[in-house]
Amino acid sequence: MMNSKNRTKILDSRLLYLLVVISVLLLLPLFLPKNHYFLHIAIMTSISIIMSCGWNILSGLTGQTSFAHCLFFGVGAYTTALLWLSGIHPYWTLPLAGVAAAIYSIFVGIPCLRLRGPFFVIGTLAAGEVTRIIANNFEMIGGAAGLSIPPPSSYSKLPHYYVTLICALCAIAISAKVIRSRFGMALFAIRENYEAAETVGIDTTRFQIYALLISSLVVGIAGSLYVQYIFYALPDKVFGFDTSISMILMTVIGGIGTLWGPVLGAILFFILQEFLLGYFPNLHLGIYGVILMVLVLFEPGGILNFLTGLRFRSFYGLTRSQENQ
Amino acid sequence: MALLEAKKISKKFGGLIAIKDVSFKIESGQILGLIGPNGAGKTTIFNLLSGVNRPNGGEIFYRGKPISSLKAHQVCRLGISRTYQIVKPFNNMKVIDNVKVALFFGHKLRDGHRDETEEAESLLDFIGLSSKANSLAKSLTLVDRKRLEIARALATHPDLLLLDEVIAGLNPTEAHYTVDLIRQVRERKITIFMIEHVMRVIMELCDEIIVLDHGELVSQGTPQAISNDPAVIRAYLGNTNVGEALEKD
Repeated sequence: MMNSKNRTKILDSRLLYLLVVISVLLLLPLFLPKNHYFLHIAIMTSISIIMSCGWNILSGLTGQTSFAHCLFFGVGAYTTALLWLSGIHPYWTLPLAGVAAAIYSIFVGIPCLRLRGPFFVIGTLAAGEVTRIIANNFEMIGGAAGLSIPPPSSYSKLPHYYVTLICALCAIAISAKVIRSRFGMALFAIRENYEAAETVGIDTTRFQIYALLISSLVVGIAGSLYVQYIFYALPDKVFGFDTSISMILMTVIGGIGTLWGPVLGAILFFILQEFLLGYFPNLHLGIYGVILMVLVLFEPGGILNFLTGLRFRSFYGLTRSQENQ
Repeated sequence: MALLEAKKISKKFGGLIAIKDVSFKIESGQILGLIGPNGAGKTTIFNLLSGVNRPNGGEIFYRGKPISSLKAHQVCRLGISRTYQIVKPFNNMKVIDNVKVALFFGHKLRDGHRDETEEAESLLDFIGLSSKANSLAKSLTLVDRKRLEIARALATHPDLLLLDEVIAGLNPTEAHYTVDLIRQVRERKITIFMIEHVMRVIMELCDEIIVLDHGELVSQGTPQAISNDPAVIRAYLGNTNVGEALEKD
C-alpha cells in the first residue's frame, strides 16, 4: 500500500518537473533575440540527445558496442539531403530518413549480430568505414565533396528548434518505452548473459535485430535533423568514425543502459565541448580526454550513477532505482 | 512413447570425441540420473539436449519429434528447461526479474490475464528466495544462485527439467533442502534428468541411472543395479582388482 502510494507521488512530482522543463524550453526562445546562440546550442544538443538515446537502445541495453551507428546517421542525412534537393519539404523526409536508416541497418545487422564482444566491434567498425569510403567515391551522391543544400533566403532557426525539440522528446519517450517493456527486459537479459537468455527462451538474434531497427531509426532521424540544420552532408563527417565515437562517449559519460544517462551525457558533452572550444581552442581535445579518463576510472557507471549515489543499483535507470529507495 | 529419446547421438569437438553413439530414453514422470567421472561428457549431453550444441550424429526425439536442429530458445519453448553447473544468473538484474524474464519468454502460453509478478513471487517462495526478491542477482551466495537457476528453469513451465549438479558444493543442510525441493518439483508432474556427483543423493532420488565414461554409455539401470555393476566401478576406479574381484563374484 505504502509503497504504491509513494510511487505515484514520486511519479507525479517527476512528471511535474518534466512539464516545467518542457514548457520553459518551449517558451524561452520567444523572449530571445532572433537566431540567438542559445538556439544553436539547443538544436545541436537535441540532435545529440536523439543520437545517444538511439545508440543506447541497441548498445546500452544489449551490451553490443556498435561503431556502425555513424552509418545510420549518414544514411538519414543523405536521404534527407537527396529528397530535399529533389524538391520535397525536409520535414516530410524525417520519417523516410528513419526508415532508410532502419532498412540499411538490416544489411549491417544480419552479418554483424552473429558476432559478439570485440568481434562485433570490429565488424561494425568495418561496416562504417566501408560505407564512408563508398560515399566518398560515389559521384551520384556528391562524392567526397558531399551534398550541399542552398539555404533559403529568409532563414529562422526557430521552427527547426521546435522540430528538433519534439523529436528529442519522442526519442526519450521511445527509449523509456523500450527500457520499461518486456522487450527491454529481454535485451537486459541478453546483455547480462547471452547463453542464459537463450536458455530461458529468448530468441537473442531476433531481439537484437529488433533493437537495431529501433535504434537505427532514431539515429537516422537525428541525421536528417542535422542536415536540415547544417544544410550540408559531408561523407567524412556524417559517416565518420567521430560520429560513432561521440554517440558512445555521450552515453558512457551519462550512464550506459539507463534512460536519462544518454540525455544527461549528450547535454554535458555538447555544452562542455562548446565551452572548451571557446576558452581553450588549442587544448580542448586534451582537456576533454583528461575529463573522460577521470570519469571512466572513478565512475564507470557514468554521471547519472554518480548523481544517484547508488553504486550497485539495478540497470533500470534513475527512475526505477529511486523507486526502490 | 518416451518423453525424450536420444538415438546414437555423438559430438566431436575438433579431434576430441566427447560423446559417442549414446542412446537412452527418459520416461514421463521419472527422475533419471546421469553419473560418470569428470570429463565423461555429462554436461555435453545436457548441451545437446537443450540445444546449446548440435550433435554431429544421431537424433534426439522429444515427444516423437526430432529436436536436434532446434536452437536453445526453441527447445526451451517446447518444454525442456535446464540449469547450468556454472551458474549463469542475470547479475545486474533483480532476483525477481531474473524469474520474470523466464516467465515472459520461456513458454508459449500467452495469457494476458496472468499475473507474472504473483507467479514469480510464488516461485521464489517455493524455492526459498522470497526474502531476496529485490536484491541484485550478483549479491547472492552460491547456494542462492543455484536456487535461482532452478527457479528460473521452473519459470519456463518445463515438462522436462535438466539439473546440472545443483547439489554439489552445498553443505548437508542445504543439500537436504534441495533434495526436498527436487521431490516437490517432481510432484508438479515435471520429469527430471539430473547430473550429480553426490552419490547418496542420486541413489536416494533417482528411479533409474545412466553411467557415462569417456563419452560412452557404460551402464544403465536402477540405483542398486548400477552400484553393483563392475563396469561402473571400473569407470570410477580404473581397471583395478576391486573391479575384477567383483566380476568374479
